[in-house]
This record gives sequence, structure tokens and C-alpha cells, in this order.
Amino acid sequence: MGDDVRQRYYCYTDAGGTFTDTLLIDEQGNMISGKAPTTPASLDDGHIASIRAAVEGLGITLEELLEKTEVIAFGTTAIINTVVQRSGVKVGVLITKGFERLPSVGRGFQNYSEYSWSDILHSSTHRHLKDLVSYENIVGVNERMDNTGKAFIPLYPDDVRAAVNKLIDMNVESIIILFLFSYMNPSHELQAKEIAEEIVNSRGKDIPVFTSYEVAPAMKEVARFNTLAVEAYAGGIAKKSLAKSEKRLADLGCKMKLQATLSHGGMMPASTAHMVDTAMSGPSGGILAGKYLGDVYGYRNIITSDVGGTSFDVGLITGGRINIKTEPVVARFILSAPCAEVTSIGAGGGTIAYLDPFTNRLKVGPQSSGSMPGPACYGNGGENPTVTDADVVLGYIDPDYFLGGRMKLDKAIAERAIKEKIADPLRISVIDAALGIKELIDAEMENYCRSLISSRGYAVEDYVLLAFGGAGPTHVAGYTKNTKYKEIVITPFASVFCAFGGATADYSRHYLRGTSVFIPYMADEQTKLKAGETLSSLWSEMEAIAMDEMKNAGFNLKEVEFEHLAFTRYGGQLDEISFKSPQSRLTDAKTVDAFVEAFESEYSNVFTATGKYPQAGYLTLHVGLVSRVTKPKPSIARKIVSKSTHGGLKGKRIAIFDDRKPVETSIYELSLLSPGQQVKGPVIIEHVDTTFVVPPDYHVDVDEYGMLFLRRA
Amino acid sequence: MGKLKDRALQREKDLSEGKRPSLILKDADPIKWEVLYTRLLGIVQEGRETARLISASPTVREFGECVFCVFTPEGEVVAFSRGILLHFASFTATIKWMLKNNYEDDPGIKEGDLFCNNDPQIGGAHSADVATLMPIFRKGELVAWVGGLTHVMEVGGTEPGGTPPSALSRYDDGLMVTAQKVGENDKYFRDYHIMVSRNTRDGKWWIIDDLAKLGGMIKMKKALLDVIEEYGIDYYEKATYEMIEEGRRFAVSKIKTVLFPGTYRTAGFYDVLNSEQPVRFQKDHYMHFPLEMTVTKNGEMFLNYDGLSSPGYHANNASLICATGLHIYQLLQEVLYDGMFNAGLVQALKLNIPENTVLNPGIQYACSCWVSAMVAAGSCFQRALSRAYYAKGFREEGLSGKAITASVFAGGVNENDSLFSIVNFEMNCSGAAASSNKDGLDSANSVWNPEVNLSDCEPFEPLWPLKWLGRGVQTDGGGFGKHRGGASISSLYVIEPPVKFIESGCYMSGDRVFASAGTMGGYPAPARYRYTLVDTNFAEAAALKQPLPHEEGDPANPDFARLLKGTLKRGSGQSASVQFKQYDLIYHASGGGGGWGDPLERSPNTVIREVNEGLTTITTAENVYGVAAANTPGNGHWTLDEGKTSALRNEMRKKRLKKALSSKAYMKKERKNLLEGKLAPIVKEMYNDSFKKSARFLDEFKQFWGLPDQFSGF
Repeated sequence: MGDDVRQRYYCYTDAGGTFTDTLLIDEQGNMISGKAPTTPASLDDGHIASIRAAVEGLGITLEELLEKTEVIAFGTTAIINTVVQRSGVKVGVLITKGFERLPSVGRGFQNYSEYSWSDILHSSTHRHLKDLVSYENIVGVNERMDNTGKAFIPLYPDDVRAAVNKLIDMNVESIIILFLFSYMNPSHELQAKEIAEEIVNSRGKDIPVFTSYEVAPAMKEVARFNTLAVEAYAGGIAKKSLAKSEKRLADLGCKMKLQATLSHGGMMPASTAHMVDTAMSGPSGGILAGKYLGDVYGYRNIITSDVGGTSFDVGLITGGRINIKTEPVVARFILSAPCAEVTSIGAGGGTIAYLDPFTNRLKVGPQSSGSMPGPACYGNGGENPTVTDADVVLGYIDPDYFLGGRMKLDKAIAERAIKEKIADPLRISVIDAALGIKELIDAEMENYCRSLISSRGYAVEDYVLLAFGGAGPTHVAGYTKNTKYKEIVITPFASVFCAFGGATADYSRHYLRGTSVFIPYMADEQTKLKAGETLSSLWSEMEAIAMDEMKNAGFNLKEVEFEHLAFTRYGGQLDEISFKSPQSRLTDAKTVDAFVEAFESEYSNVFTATGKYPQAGYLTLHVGLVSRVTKPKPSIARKIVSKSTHGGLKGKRIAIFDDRKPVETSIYELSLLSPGQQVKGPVIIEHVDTTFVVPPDYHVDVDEYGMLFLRRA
Repeated sequence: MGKLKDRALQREKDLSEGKRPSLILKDADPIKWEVLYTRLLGIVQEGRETARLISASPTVREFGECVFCVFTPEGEVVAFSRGILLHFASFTATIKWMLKNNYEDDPGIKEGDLFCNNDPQIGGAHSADVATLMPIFRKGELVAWVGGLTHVMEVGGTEPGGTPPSALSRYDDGLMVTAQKVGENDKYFRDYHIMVSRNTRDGKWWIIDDLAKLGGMIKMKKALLDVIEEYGIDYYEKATYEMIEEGRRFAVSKIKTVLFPGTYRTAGFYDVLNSEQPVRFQKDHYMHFPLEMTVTKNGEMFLNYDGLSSPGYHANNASLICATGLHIYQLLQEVLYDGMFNAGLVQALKLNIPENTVLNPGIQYACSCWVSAMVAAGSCFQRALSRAYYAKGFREEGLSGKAITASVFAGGVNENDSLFSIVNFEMNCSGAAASSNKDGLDSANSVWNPEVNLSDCEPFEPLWPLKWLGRGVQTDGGGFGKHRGGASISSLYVIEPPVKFIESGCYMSGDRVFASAGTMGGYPAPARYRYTLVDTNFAEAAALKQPLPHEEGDPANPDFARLLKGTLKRGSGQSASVQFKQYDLIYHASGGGGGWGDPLERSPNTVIREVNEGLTTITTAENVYGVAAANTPGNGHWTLDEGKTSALRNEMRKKRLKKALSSKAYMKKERKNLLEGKLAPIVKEMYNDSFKKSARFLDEFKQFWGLPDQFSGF
């Protein structure tokens, strides 16, 4: 890597809670990673240090790398850090009068979002979230639109003037305006903004004014408010942080604009993105990488599964499309911001096993030992046995080769923890207890994957499962044991899989607009035309906004592509499904019929044989637009298939599988496996960042990309 | 006599004789056993999530008002999904009822059959709770049942919304499907859905939810049969009974560990004020819930409602099945939240709810608004549990009384002549009870569902012609105390746009009598009421940009009466449906939680902050909390006057001392009142009913108050 002076690089950096990781990929698909501590006070320090760490392995200077960089992107946590720490700016709110309590009441489920089931049930543990906006800085304004966009209370301009003056007197640093149904008719919000800006200017202040229509013009006022509040509260801080990184990179010779990676799996120049759209950029990497692999291999349906230290993150790609969630929960707030759908449960290497104090039943999770003290075998004083401890006891993880030997584990402590806390009270052996921990966590993860696919009406047999993350390959055979996936794939770069995915993102933005278009069953032509006209004009408006933003971001407008989406339900249902409209303009009854057919087809895919109810008519409540400029993507290095079938064998050790008998198991080094090689289980394949466990009755095939396919013998 | 019926009867007999399975499989291989249970939980969760995605009801989608289960062939719950847990006993009762009534012979129970029930005397809480059951066969043998239940928005009945408050008997409750076979071969009968369409105002709610449940259950069936094949039918069957026994053991063990043994007595009350309602039987009812909870040293729990009031011809009775389910749910929420949820819990709790009472009425009584009765009972139970917790040293688990919950419904005729009917589940966000160490949460609690939620207004408004003028938190809405009870969500609506006809009402009572009692000196939450303002000048005021009401404001001088012209009516919180027209206003709040501790011990700074936020009135701050405040001229902001507050609180304590009586003197005074019959007629009627119901209650009443032997009532 790096020998060719003409070599170009992709540079992708992801700031995590503890470390900031950089992945450099050259044009041949070779990868090199670097890691530096995250520096929350000034994320740019960790960003540059991480790139510097990666470039050390290349034999060129940081300046040389940046000069040769084709695409440079950063997944920032600035917005989440600011929200979690409540360290944002002082925000003032103008809201439809009578709704001043909306921010504090929110949605009931925010009081227990991210809770375990037992805590949800135990309602005295529920808590309201600490507000981003203090109640005294929320002022009601008389006005009201109805759901058709008709004003039944006019805007009271004097209310706006009084409110803005009051907020300025309260020294707010940012003003947001949210009026009900502004997505149907934004005139009141825009008029209020104009008045607010006049007053701000006349009083010589520099206070930005945001409207919900401009930031998140979608239905559902709580999510819309939260999105607006997060942007106003933390967006400025995040933008400044990215600008600082961009300037330092430019000073070091980088000619490319810094791209911010976005929650829905795209990227946009940092200077033009809405910062709230970056809130979930980290988890989207895995699913993007899955999509990329799907394109390479021709897989249309993929489930990505990432087993880390504390959580099991799962994403779905169906029919070649990443499932997009329009209302993600971020830092326990529900937002209206399109996001690649990745859902999680508390299951990972650090998940704690314990006995129910009342019945002695073995339970695993969702509590985690965290990074400190971590699993008992870390030797940091942790006394609770964890999944990692079980993996060590069962011989899966070599205590001397954890993280490639960078961290020594203590098997004796792991055994002691399992013996004292699980095995002795249950009067079973340490091995049986360790197997129990493994089987239970595997069953939980298997349930979760099945439920995610099945509850959406799809068949698990149609899906390829991708396993990655530090503990993914260790447990993948366990959490797929009773599910017949089409294929189970493990990547040779499991630990940087998410980062790789981030690097494959296109330049894109997702737009969402609330509306209300009803097409009755057997509608007449005139009704269809009217519906088509409304939908077409919304897409047209969004296209204009998108083109404007793409132009400002410096893209060639000829390269911009659009995808026209609708979020539709049967009349009376409470949840929409998203689908791609076959046409961008619905100009006649025929195109409207095709639109309805596309909905019916998607609905049938999702809820086969049940749930179809065309008699209720079709209600579209949101339309969406994806604007995209396809970016050159890194490739995965492809190697010649070798005839060698014995590469990588580096030893043997005792491991224990489902039949509970110690088995002398071959140990392979993953990086030394050859394309075309097949290894038969039981076998353990080690890598510096993960351990791949292949039980008896399974084998693994390695292909020309180095991908590993777990198959039953 | 069918084979399953025999098995069910034998199982009941065995359990009543204490013959329970040993945990042989669990002891032999606890891991295999536990993994099977984990898989079963995955199956019920998969069913529920599938249904939630397909469902029609806002109540299902937004508030999670649905639940899915796997049962033994006799109908005992093995695994229960998340969701509306009060239905713990619902399906079991339906399956057992079908078996006892020889359904195996006629109409037959065979593979692919679907059974529906929304008869609350057989399963569910009211006719809005529509359950579907599917028997699961393996090699021709019924090996399990799966079931799903959703709360449906419209079921016919006297009023729209599914839970008519003017129902006076079962025959007003709505379309009742009593354990009926409604499908074969995993498909609903067409004529069943035709019946639903033609006998409800808007059949789509029911039908789409039926399809949602079927979608979930088909997935559950396949997954369950896979699991049975994998584990073998013998292992599966034995293990499921062991799981039920494990559930019972968990409950007993936890009760023994965390609750102090003893006998605890609480009393609860509620009212139904129908004398001024537009209903056929115009009579007010007060009801009495005397609860005795006994916790033994061995962890057994007995609840005894001896002396409970009679049922009445009103909408607020609760079926025995509902009452059983809600008590189990209450126990789950307060004590057993971290255990195994299955039929074992039912076995751990012994309930005595006498027949022909408001929690165990005869077939003819209406149950549509059961929540009032169950909040009164549940609140008693909660306070008894709190004391048992508190006595054991778990002070943070001490809670005051829970809130009554209530909601607005509306229906009518649209401009295009179609009927509409909908209920708003804002009641899901009532106030939570205060506890010994913190205030109750505002607008975040309901008595029957842990996953409380609140729909946004924007998706809801297109469904009905009620527009929110404001949605907030009720001022002074929680019980006062050192820690105040949570206040409820409160809403002010205007009727807009015009429709041909609109009727609206509100269900769930608690209008003069409160269920959410305070604890340790805390106040109860206010009784419920609603305001309507009709013939308003709303449109003119809005056009002229005059001040408009958006909330109640000071309850003593509500904003809507202050700012608009019109005819104001303060009415009962539970209101039968009446007709409205464009620009009429409706104000409604659900219930608040009880307060905990002496209000004079509440932090004065907190009181002032809440005055400034509109949660507490200045009058309450001064008169209840003893907090003196000064108003900053010009901006309406109140600041604390520490010196005056200290003096005011001292003065209030002195007044209390002056007014106070010793227990002995108080008892003497009250005894005299009783002997002289100084009670409101309706209260006399309530107690006389309890005396007739229970000789024991009468004896103990006489003993407690030292009444003469010949006393037999007022």
C-alpha cells in the first residue's frame, strides 16, 4: 500500500466515545487503520491524531496523504455529546399557544426509552428527560393551522413581537419556531421568522432563527420539535467543530472539502449539512458496508449483525434498499430525521451473567460490565462473569491473543467468577455454566434477528446474515443455530467494517415532507388527478431545494439523481410503509394507479397474505426525496484463488462446544487464510480484533475477497 | 365430554390440592430449560411486533394496547408478550370457558380454527378488548393455543369510541362476540366481518386489527411448532408446566423477601354521577372497596374484598376476569417486575371477590368503563403494598394512590354522510402517584399499561373534528404533599370544522370521590370534572385577534370563561355523549396521583418554581404549602419571600394544633355523628349495601366504632 506516487486514498474517520478510528483505503482496496483517543473538548485534535496514526503505516507524511486524498469524511459525535452533556446554547422557543408544555411532556415513551423491560414495567423508575430548553424560555403565540393547512386562528403578530423581545431579554442564543401543522402550510412560521429576524437585527443581536418547516417539515409535533431543538441547541457547536477540523486539514494541504457522514448513510460537505442529520452516523456504517457487499455479491436481502462490548446492533437491507427509519431515538429523544435503521439490544462481550436471586434462574444481561471494570478476566476488579469470560473458559478466546495480544486476559479469574456466581449455586460444572451463558445470549440474539425480519413480514430464509464487531464472529454460529439464513458471511476486516461502510457512502441527502393525500378505493379520475398533482408538486418543491443545496455544496447538477419516495398506509392504519414511486410526476390516472400498485406490492411484500385492506383507501402522510451524487467508491482487494488448503494453521488448543466435551481444536490465523481455502470445524480462526468460532459440523469457505462463509457440513 | 375439558378440570383440582409439578427438567439441565423459555418469549414478541405494524388502532400502534401469548392446551399462560398486561387472565378465562362449555364437541376445535371473544364476562375487560385465539395442532393433537388481543376503537354500543359511559347494562356495551368460532383454515369467515361492519359505526378499526392479530398468530404458530419439533413434544409439554410452577415460586419467593408479613387494610371509593346525565336510569352511585391484604411469612398473599359494593346499572362495573387480571398486573408492576410472567403468578395470588359485587357482577351489568372500579381497587392494593414494602425498609417503593384515568371520545356524521367514531387515549398520560422520596411524574402514567405513551396531535386531528387549542398539564392537578402527585395531561378543544352532527363525551368517573388517596399527610388528587362552553364567540374573537383561551388556568376562574362569551357548564368528569356544534369548547383532564407527606415540608423554592410554570396556583402555594411569594411588577414573575414563608408556616402549624383533636376525641365525635346518622344519604346507602353484603364487615364496623349490638345500618 502506498508505493505508487499516483495512488489516491479514501480517508474515513469515525469518532467514538473512547477512540477515534481512521480507515485509509487505497484504490486497490487495501486498508490501513489508525486509532487515537477521542478528545471531546476539541474533536479535531482526536481527528487529526487518528489520521496521523493511520498514515504511520503507509510510509508517507500526513501532508502527502492529505494531498493525495480523494475523499475525506468524518463521522462526528459532537451533536450527541452536546445533547448528552446538556452543554448546548440557550434556546428560546416560539410555539403555538397552548403547547408550551410540549417539550417537557414529550411523548410518554421518552420517559423509559432505552430501559430494560423490567424497568419499563417497574414504572416508579420512569423519569422525564431533562429539557433542552428551559420552560421560562418557551413563549406561546396565538395562531393555528388545521390539518389541511387552513388557518382557523390567524397569526397574532403582536404576540410574536412580544415573545421575541422577551426571549432576547432572557439572553437566548438561538430562537426556534414551531407551529402546529406548519408542514401543511408554513406561512405562519415564515411570517413569525421574518418578524423575529427584524427584531433581532433592530436590537443589534446575532441570534439565529430556525423554523420547524425549514429543518424538519414532517408530521408529528414532538419529533419535529426535538429535531429543531437539537439543531438549534447543538448544531452550531457541531458545525464549528467540523469547521475547525476542515481548516486544520486544509492548512495541512488537504484540497478536498471535509464531508460529514449522515445518519441515513450519505455524506454531505460539513459546511452545508444540517447537523441533526449527523446524530446517528456511527451505527449507519455497518449497514452501508452490508449494502456495499450486497452489491458486490448480488445479495438483495441482508441482515447486518454487530456484536460489540455492550450492544448487539442489527440492520436490515431488503430488496437492495437500506431500511430507513424516519423517527429514530437519539439520546432518548425521538427525532424526525431519516436514519439508517439499526436497532439494538443489550447483548455483547461485556454482558453480565447472574442468577435470579429468587429462583436461581440463569440470566444474561442486559446489564454490562462496561469498559471499566469490564469482564472479570480483564483483571480490573470486575467480579461479575460476562459473556467474554465464558468465551475464555470455553477456549474460544486465547487469553494471550486478545486484541492480537495487546491485552492479556486472566482465565483463572474468569473461571473463578463463573464458578462462584453461577456454577456452584446451580451445582453444575464451570464448563456447563459457561456454555449456558453462551447459549442464552445466543438465543437472545437469535430471537432478536428473527423477530426483526419476521415481524416485517419477510422470510429469514431469504436473508444473508453478515456478522462483524469484536464478538460477532465468536458467536455467529450460536445466534444462527436455529435459523436457516441463505448465507452467513464474516468479513476479514470485522473490526473496521463500520468504518469501511462509511467510506462507501454517496453524497446524498434525504428530505421528508408531511402532507395528507387520500386516494379512496376505486377513486374517480378527478380525485386521482388531484392527488397526483399534490404529490408531484411536493416532489417538485423538494427537488428545487435539493438542487439548491447540491449547487451550494459545489456539485455538478447534471450528476444529481433523485429517488421519489412516499410513506403510505391504508386509511385508518397508524403506520406507513415507505416505497419508491415508479414515476416522479403523477400526471394522469394511469400514473396514480401505478403509484397505488407500487404501494400494494410493497405492502404485500411486507405483510404477506394478511393485512391488505384496499377498501379503506390509501393515505399518504409523508413524501420523501433522496438526492444523490454517486461518489467513487473504494473497492475490496480481490485476490487470486489459491490451491493451498492449509494456510494459516498456527496451533491447537482445547475448546468446548455444544456437546460439552473438550475437543482439541485447530487454531488458524485469519490473515493467513488463502482465497479458495476451506477449513472444517471445529476450528477457531483468530484475528487481532476478533475470534471466529467454527463449531463441529460446520466448515468455512474463503473466497477471492477474503470473505468467510460459514456453512453447515 | 372432551378430552381437554377433563384435563383442564383435573389440573384445576390438582392445583387446588397443592399438587404441583417438580422442576425435574429444570434441575436436570437448567440451561436447556432456560433457552426454551427464551425462545418462547421471542415467539410472543414476534407476534406482537407483527401486529403492531399492521394494526389500525391508534391505541395499538401509538399506545401499545395489544398483547400476545402462548398457552398450554388447558389455557394457562406460558409466555406473555410486552403490552397491556392486565389481560393476564383474559385469554385463559376464555379458553377454559370454551372447554367447560364443550366446544370440543360443538362447534368443534380443529386445526386452523379462529375464535373471537370480547365478552368481558368471559375474557377481556370491556367489549373494546377483542381477542382472537388459535388452537395449535401437532399430528392431530391440540398442543397449545396462541392468542392476541387488541383494544378496538369502535364496537357499537350506545355511544361512539368503544367504551360508552351511558351504557346501563351489558346490552348497551356494544357488539358482543362471545367465544365464537370466526374462522377456519387460518382465515376469517366473511360473514363474521360482514356482521362487524354492519353492527359498528366504523368497522375498519375492528377488521384491520383482526388481520393484524392473524398476521402475528400465523407467525407464532410456525415458530412454536418449530420449537416443539426441536425439543420434542414430551419435553415441551413438561417444561411449560414447570415454567408455570417456576413463575409461582418466583412470586412467592419475592413476596416473602420484600414485603413485611401481616394484614393490611385499605379502603377505596368511587362514584358514578348519573342523576344529571342524559341516561335512562338517572341515579348517582357511590361504591366502597374495603380491601384486606394478608401476606404470610411464607410469601403467600390473600386479597379479600369482603364488604365490596353491589354492581349497578351504570357503565363502571368490572368483570371478575378483569379484576383478577388487574390485581396481578398491579403486583407485577410493583413487586414482580423482574420475574417470569405466566400463569404461575395467578396461582400465587388468592383473591376473594364475592359474587354480585361491582368487581364480580352478574351477566346483565355493563362493563364498558371498568377502569374506574379497577382504579379504586388498584389504588387500595397499591397503598397496601406500599405499606408492606415500607415496613420492610424499602422506603423508595412507597407510593400514594394511583390516578383515575379518563378520555374524551367523539363521533357523529361527516359532511359526506359517513359515521365516525374515535376515542383519544390521552388518559394514558395521567399523573403518577408521589412516592416517599420524589414527586409523581406529570402526564406519564396509566393504571393498566406500563408503556404509557401520548399520541401527537397532528396525526390525530384529521380523525375527528376536535382541534386542540392547548394541551398541557393540569394546574394543581396532583395531590399536594411534601412530594406532590403527578398531574394529568389536560386538553382544551374547539369543535372545528363543522360536520353534520358531532357528539362527544368522556368516560371514567371519580367526580366527587377520589381514588388517588394521599399518604403520610399528602392530599388526594382533585376529583375530576369537565367544562364545556357552548354558543361561543370564538370565531369573532380569533378574527379580531383578541385573547383566546388555551388552557384552564386558575381552576377557580377558568380562562375560557374569562376570555370568551358563551354558556359555561361545569359537569361530571364522566359525561354521557351530548351534541356539540362548531366553535363549542370542551375542557378535559384525566386524573392526578396522590401526594405524599405534609405539604408544609415541601421545598418553598420548588413551590415558587411551579407557580411560575403554571403547575401550582398562587392560592395553593399560600393556603396549602404555606409559601409566601412576591410578584415582580411588570412581568408576572413570582419570587419567594423566605421570611414571610417561615412565619406563615409557623402560623399554619399553630392553627392545626388549635384545630386538632386527640384520636380518642376524634373517634368520639365521629361515633356520635354515626349514631345520629349524620351522613349524606348516598353515603348511608353505600355503607348499608356493604353491611348487607358482609356480616363480618358489619361486625367489625360496629366493633371499631363501638356501636351498639342492634346497629344494622343507617
